[in-house]
Amino acid sequence: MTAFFALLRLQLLTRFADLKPKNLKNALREKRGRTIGMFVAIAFLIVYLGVILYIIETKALDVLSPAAGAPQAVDLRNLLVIMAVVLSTAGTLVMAFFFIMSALFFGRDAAFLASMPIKPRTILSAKLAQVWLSETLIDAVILLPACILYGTRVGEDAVFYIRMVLIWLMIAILPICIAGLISAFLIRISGLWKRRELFLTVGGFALFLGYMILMMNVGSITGDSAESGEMLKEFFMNNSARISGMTQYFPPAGWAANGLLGDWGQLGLYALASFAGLALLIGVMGIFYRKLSLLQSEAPTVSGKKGIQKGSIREGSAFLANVKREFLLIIRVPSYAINILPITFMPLVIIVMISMSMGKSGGEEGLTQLLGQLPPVLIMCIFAAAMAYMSGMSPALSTAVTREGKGHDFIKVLPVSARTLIHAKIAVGFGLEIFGVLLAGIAILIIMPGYTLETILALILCLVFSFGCSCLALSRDVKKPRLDWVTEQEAVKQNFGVLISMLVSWGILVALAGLCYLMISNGWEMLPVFGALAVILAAFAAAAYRMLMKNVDRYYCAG
Amino acid sequence: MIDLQHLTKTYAKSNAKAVDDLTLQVNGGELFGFIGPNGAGKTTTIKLMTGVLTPDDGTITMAGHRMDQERLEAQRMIGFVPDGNDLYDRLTGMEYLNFMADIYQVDAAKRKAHIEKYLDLFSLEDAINNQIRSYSKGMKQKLVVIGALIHNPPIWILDEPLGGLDPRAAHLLKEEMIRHCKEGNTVFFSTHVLEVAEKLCTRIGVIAHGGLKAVGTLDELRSGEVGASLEELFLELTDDGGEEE
Repeated sequence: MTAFFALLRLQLLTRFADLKPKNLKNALREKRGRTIGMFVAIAFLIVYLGVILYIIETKALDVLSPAAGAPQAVDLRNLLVIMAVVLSTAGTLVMAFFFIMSALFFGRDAAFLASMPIKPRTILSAKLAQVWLSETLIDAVILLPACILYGTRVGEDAVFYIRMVLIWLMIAILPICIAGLISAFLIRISGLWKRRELFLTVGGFALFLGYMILMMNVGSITGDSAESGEMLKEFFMNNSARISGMTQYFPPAGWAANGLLGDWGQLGLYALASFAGLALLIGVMGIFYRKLSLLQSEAPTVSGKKGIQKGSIREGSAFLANVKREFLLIIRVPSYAINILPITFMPLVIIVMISMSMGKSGGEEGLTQLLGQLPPVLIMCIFAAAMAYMSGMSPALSTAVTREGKGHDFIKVLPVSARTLIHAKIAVGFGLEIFGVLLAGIAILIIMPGYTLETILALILCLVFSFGCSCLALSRDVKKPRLDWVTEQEAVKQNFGVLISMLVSWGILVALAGLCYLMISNGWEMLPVFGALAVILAAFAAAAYRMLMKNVDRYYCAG
Repeated sequence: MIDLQHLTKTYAKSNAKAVDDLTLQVNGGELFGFIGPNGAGKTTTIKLMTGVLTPDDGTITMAGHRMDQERLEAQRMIGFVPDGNDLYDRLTGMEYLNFMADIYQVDAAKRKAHIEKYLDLFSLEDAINNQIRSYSKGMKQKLVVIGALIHNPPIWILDEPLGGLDPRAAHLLKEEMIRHCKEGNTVFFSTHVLEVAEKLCTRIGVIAHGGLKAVGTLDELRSGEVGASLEELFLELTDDGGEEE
């Protein structure tokens, strides 16, 4: 076996070790409930997303289909395929960036691999192949259903599906090349700064925000139409120029879309560009890869500061010491910062996105007009839901114990009660959520003035909901932390607990939405609905906190 | 100071007892060496003593505090240097020491005096404001030692403390262990380096297969075997070796 395949096999075995039949069998024997639960949750997520995709795409094809006999210069149904290509490309660019950063530059095996008789290009190629495989699997979820639905509806022949598979296999390559070059550039530049982790965090955060802005542009809806079909049609019609524009900004996406729709020349051009980009990346980056991969293991030192500095000795309680430690680790470890901090600002981003999207058709007036048509109780519920949507997604608390990793035993030696340690984690994790939600609340008050009471009530509901969800997320991690991780990315990203917490919080949110619907349709006004929700959420939060403390006493720091 | 009575610990996924009915007392002013082959139960015993693990049977008393009844009080009596020290790499050395001082509630004047003394002793002044990940293995070990001693604990437990230290740093650490004992405190450490145990310890315990095979001064261990070195005694007491931990 060549070094390339040996390395690739090693990486895949490490990454997918849990799915090996032997390990699965052992897991089913030793942790039956957990293993089955994991598969049920994943199946649920796939079905859930699949159904949503199917409904949206079928509806989109319905509204974009030409009326019988009506002449049409351009088949609007193509927009669905073009959009799937654009979203796959943009999504891969962002996802691959974080994956490449982690796999290429933050892996703890960098020094070990550098000591082996393997060419740096071979190591780079094997790591990129792993990224490609992973991203291609994700792209399958975005690209293939849209293409298959389109092909079925339009009545495409078998050749279309061959083109679809070819494009699918190639669609991740160019974004990976671009992400690879950006991350290599960031790593090289960061080497010039003492606070390189801060630089990487800010760089990653900027890219993430860029992606959100892109999505914001694609996702604008007018909100003028009450009927969903019309709304979807308007969405595509209004965005057709924008979607086409994106393919102009990044021509290969246009080549891929056109290639998929039948232009073999453009498909060939896309293939050529993809493989040329890959060859260029491996060729150029291969020269510097060894040096770059070892750069992050060289920790910067602060020169000129020797001994005890003025003000560096400060007394504090054990609780505050742990709060400080938790917070410093979140902001200083790039993997933690990149995965946790953006979620903190997400409620704010969602509010701004909604207001911009809805306001696009008629500016501020359009939005105010739309809100003016809704009863206050509904506005309160919408505000609360928009802010609470992200509550369950933050890995700050759902991985708080897992992040201790090998240091967990050390924590257990400290003469600090388990509850104090956990309260410190809550203070940091929930504190970040409060900060994010308050920012979103302020944004609502500024962007949509005149809804002060609705906003304040929504804030209260959201915070109580978030507290309950935070306790549930942490409770699970207290009970079943994963402490054997090797890279921080594994602790915070490739963590099943984050998925579980997210699904649970969404499930509760859906149930609450159903309850709100019942109350509002029965004529309940804002304050009674708020009162009912507040009581229910307070009971939920109290129960979740009680459950957390029970788990803390039972599992955390237990030998 | 340290009183272990009939300690037994079996890991959940193993039928073999990692520690089997271990009884041991270590008094104040003693420098106790704990030796044994790989997988003998040294680290498990230390984890039990420090409260990381809970024994299936038996009791642990540290400086008069029962670990099962007053865990936090018992842990306050301990300064612990774990084996392997990849802890909080992103904190600076000073942040780490402040953290430890806050945990053990050491006031500002005492912690300043302590940190100054040890930074000078271990020559860490230049690096103390850098992130720990920039430290060498030996520097990390020195930092962990400073942190473990920050509250001047009556019981100092070290798990394989000399690994990674240069000869000068190893010498300094040994001197510090002796000094700590002379102040009436207890030092308990595990090691594979028999020469260190032989030269340093007032008493030695030999563990194999989770059980204490012998305990006493070097002379007591020799028990009439004139001229036998600790190495020869160790090989004899643990003649069937042990399994990897």
